[in-house]
Amino acid sequence: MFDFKLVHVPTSKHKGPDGLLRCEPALGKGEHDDPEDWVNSALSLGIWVVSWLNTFPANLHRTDALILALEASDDDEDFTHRACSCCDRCLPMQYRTGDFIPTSCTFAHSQLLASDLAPSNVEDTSNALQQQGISAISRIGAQSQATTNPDTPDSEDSLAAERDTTAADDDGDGREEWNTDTSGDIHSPLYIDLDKLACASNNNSNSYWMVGNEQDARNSHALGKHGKYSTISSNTDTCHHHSNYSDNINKHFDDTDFDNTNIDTATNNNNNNNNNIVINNDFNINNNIDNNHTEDSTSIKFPATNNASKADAEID
Amino acid sequence: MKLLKSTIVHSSALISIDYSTDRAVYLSVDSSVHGVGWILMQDCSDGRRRPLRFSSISWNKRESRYSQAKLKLYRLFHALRTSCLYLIGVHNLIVEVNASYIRGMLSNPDVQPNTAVN
Repeated sequence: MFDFKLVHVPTSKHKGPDGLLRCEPALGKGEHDDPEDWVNSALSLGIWVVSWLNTFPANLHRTDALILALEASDDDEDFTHRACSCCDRCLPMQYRTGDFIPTSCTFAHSQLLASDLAPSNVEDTSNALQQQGISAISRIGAQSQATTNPDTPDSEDSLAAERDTTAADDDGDGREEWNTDTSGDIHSPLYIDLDKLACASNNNSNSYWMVGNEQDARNSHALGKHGKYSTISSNTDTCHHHSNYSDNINKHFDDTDFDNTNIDTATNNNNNNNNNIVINNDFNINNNIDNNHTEDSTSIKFPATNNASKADAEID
Repeated sequence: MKLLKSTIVHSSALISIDYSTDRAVYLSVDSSVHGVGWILMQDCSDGRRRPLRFSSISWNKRESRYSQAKLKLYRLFHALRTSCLYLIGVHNLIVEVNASYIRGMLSNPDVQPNTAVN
C-alpha cells in the first residue's frame, strides 16, 4: 500500500516525535476491552444463573410467590411478549435462562421447558386472551373462583350460574365478599385469573400475573364478597406434577416463608416505587386441588387498600 | 489549553502537503511504553523541512506490554495506518525510525511470526 524508504535516524537526532509519545491516556477514558474483566463478568453471570436456579423452589406455593415477584418487576414486556413462540413463553424476557435449566430439576423442567407444556386448549385460551385483554382475564377470574369448589361444573352456563351464586356466597374465609363503598355501590373484588393470564403470556401453568386494576375488576364479571381483602385467584388445567398434594390445602405464611430471592425482589420493587405488589403479613395463599379433575386453584389474598392503588399505578 | 491548540492550528509553521512535487515527505515515528508519536514533514522550496501533521496514540494496557521489538514494528504500523489519508498520493515517502532492526524485520519476514514479533 505504501512505497516508502526506511531510514534509520540516531536517537539524538530523533527529538521531534519523542516529545509526542509521552502522553498517557487521558483520565476518564477507561478501557473496555480487558479480557479479564469480561471473563469475570461472564463467570459472575453464570454463578448468578446457577444460584437463581437453585433457589427456584420445588414447592408450589413458593414458586407462585417467586413468579409473582418476577412478574411484578416486569414492567411493560409481558403483554408484548405474549405472541412469542412456545419455547419462549416460559418466563419474562429478563428471566429466561434457556439451556441453563438443569434437566435433573423436575419442577424446573416442567415449569420452564416448552415440551411439557402448551396443550392445545391453553393455546386457544392464550389467543382469546390476547384479543380480549385484561377484561377477558378478569372475566375468567370468575371461573377461577368457581373452580375453588371441586364440585363446580366446567360448562359456561354453569359457570355463569355459579358467578351469580358465588357473588352472594361466602367463601368461608369469614370476610364480607362484596365491596361496598360509602355511596352504597357494590363493587366486585379484584379478581384476576393469574394462571390463565400466565398461560396467555407464558404457557406456564403456575406463573402469576400481578393483581389487576381495580377499575377493571369493577367492570369485570368476577364477583365475590371480600370487603377488606382483594383476591387473586388462579386456575390451571395442567397441574399433573402436583398430584401429590391433598385436597383443600390452606396455607398461610408471611414474608419469612419466602426465599430470600423472592423477598428481595419484592422489597426492592416496593422501595423503588416501580411495582405494585406488596406482600405483607396478611399475604395468604389458599390452594385447593382436585386430583380427579386435575385442577388446581390458588387464591392469593392481601389487603386491597395500598395494593390496589399501586396496582392501578402499574397498569395505568 | 484551548489557546495553545488554537495557536498550533493557526501556526504558520504548519503547511499543507504539496503532492505536485517530488520533494520528499518524511514520516518520523517514535514510540515508548506510553504510546506512539509521529510527525509528517516535507521539504519546502526554501530548503527547510516543515511539519505538516503530527499526532500521537496512546497504547492500551495490553499493547504497552508488548516486547520492544514488537512495539517498534507496531508503532510503524500504527503511524502508517493513521496517516494513510495524507500519505496516499505522495511520490517520495521516507520513514524515519530510530531502530535499525526494523528494516531486517520487514525485509526478512518468516512464514510464522518470529519470537520478537510474536
